[in-house]
Amino acid sequence: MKKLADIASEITRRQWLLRLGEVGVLAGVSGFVPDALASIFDDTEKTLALPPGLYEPSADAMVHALSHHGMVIPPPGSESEFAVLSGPAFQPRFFSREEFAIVTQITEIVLGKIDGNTLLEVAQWIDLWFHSAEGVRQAALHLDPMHRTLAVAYYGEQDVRELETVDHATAAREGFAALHRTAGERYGKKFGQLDRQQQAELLQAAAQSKDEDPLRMFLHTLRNEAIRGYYTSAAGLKELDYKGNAYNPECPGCELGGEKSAS
Amino acid sequence: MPTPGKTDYDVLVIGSGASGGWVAKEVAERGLTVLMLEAGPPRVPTRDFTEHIWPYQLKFRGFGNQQRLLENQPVQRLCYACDDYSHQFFVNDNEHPYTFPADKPFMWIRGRQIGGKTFCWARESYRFSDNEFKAASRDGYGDDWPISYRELEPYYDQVERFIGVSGSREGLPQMPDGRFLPPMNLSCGSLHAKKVIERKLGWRVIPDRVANLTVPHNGRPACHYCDQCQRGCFTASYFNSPSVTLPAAARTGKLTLVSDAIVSDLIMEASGSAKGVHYIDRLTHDHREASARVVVIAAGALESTRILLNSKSTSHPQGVGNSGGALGLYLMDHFTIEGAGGFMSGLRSSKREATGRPCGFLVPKYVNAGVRADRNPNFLRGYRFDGDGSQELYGHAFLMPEFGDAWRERVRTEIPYYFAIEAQGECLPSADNRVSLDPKKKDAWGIPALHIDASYGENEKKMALAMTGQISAILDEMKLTDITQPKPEISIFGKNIHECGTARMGDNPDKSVVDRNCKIHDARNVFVTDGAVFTTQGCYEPTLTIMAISARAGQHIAQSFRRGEL
Repeated sequence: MKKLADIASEITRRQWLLRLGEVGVLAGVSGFVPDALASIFDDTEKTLALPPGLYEPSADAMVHALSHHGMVIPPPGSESEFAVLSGPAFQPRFFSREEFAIVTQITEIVLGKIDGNTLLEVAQWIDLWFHSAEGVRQAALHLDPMHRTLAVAYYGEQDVRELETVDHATAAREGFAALHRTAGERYGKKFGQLDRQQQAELLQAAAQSKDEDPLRMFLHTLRNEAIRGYYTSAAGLKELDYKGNAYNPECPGCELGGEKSAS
Repeated sequence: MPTPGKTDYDVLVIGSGASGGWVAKEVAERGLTVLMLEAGPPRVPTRDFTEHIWPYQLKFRGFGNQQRLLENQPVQRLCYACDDYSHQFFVNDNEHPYTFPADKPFMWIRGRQIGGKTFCWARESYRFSDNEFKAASRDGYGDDWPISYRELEPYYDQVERFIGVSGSREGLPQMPDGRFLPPMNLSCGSLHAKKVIERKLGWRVIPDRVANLTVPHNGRPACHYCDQCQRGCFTASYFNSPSVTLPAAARTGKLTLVSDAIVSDLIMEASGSAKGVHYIDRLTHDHREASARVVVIAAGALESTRILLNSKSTSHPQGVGNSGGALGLYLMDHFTIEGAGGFMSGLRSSKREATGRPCGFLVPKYVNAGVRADRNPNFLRGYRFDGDGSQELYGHAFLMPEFGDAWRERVRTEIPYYFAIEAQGECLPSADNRVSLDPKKKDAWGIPALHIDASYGENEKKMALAMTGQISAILDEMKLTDITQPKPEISIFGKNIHECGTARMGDNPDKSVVDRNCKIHDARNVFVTDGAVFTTQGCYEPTLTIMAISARAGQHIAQSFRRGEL
């Protein structure tokens, strides 16, 4: 079984030191590389220089990336959009504060008991998703005819039309209105004033209602995004015991032992 | 070290991907100076690779900024690899337009950077055999390649030895074995598929042959099975040109690599020889020239063809390579029958298995591959299947209707096992499938855009019927549950990103563009080395063959140069 240290030993110490500079870039930590080593880097770069765009294997860049689970400070010039840690100062961009509180409550009912930070992370994802939805729809509506033709050929007319027509902002407003109306009819209160048991009962009942019911449709969207938000969180992936995105010393094979009874 | 703008280069290579990297390496290692012009920017691993980034570290959690993708990459986003993590490796479609007839949609997936598409390629690496090279002699359709397997075999050997390809030795006459590193393991689902398909249907099932290292190789560590290949690879454990062929070329001291240099056309002398190229700085839009004694075009099949078509001069009024009228014709791309699968209930488990194997299984072509019993008279040529079985990550969560703690516990402990399979078929070369310069549309640098006019014909449609029927037979024999039958439609032309054929190789200058050494028939010192030269495409991925052809062309150029012929 090959260990990380073995891989690292396959590159020279000079390369290793050079690559430390890359690690600093990756982590976005300026001044990570001690000044005392600067002359070594200069020297090393001269002897190992490859034209920009070419690269050599770097075990430590990988080790660093594998061990880095926190927020990423975007390396200058990166075209990736990284998440930003928002903390308690978070201001929802689509929902009002009251609506966001309700979305958070619904998320907790959907997902059950999860830690508070993850719950907030998932609710924030739902807010971002709704905030983005109209821009996505407008972009779909403004596809040029050639690109729309391609989209239809790829996804089918129905999916393309759905992207162009479903107005998630309106659906959310109608969903909230229906939520409060239903809470009023059943319990004489607004949804946010119900106890957790009552809220769960209401959501269960709405999930059984007719397909076109605005509350059912809104809750369906919230549930889908809660699932996507949670199972892409650190806590959700850990709960799934996800083993990808990792250093595996050997090629994964068949570990379930059920090959003989596969079907 | 030479500098761009001077005339003292021996060889000018356009494009830095799988093909250009091999040509540059072979000629530079034989002492020739090389100027390589790449249309895109250099990629910096610690900036541009997203290997090991977690979904929660991205703003859109891996689902992508859909608005931005629709606005900037409405074509590229249709490629499975152009996602939240890897969209930076694909072009901006607004800057890179092309056109097609409204009833013939074409997907042109492009990567412009040092390395081209080799950051994102699927790494499957199969040798062609004379079943592909000499198909016309066998079934009477079209033309043979002027070269045979025996002529290309040493270059396949060389490429595999240098880049590292994992695979199993199978002894199949229609798909030759290579110089393999140890094969990857199969998943439980693939092992079961192997047992069922081999026993019940009689077709061989093998691990994919992929350009991923299963052991350390030529200074590169083995794959660490993180399942992130399309995001770049810090350890250079799969082949991409920036970490494998281009460093070898650079270490000779003979390579000058210029990025952001978009070649528009060749500069042709009255004698019919190329003097160099015109190129445009991607960032400043400044127009420049570069010259060399030999010009090699390796920009990807369609882009190479566009450059040739756009190289009109008194000596070549229809573009370089077009004296016989074959330039731009015979476009091919594999077609696929997709979407089939089902659950393997016997592999439902509460235990999560390790993931990260960068390959699945392959059923090599058997139909019309030489065995009489496997001949299908309804169509020419053939197809292969590939597939894999794996655990669902959380897709099943959407399908379980309840919610709360008990539901989450079910999601965690009742992990379904899904099996998926698709078929990929050979597209016949047809002069009706063609590309030309669009008379109006230009790209962001003023270069005429390509008009692509291609569709699948009756042979592909008949083959698709057989593929669909046999996928159904496999699903049936596998005794899957909740089976999804394959989609009835053939994939969009271009979708499989194996475009080739538009500057085809042949001995007859009236029916082909380049000769057996990849030299253009009607120009003394111009070569094309990428997929454009394919005479037929078989049903296997083209990149390994592109690399073998490029290595062969590079060595031929170096020898000819030394002999004073170039």
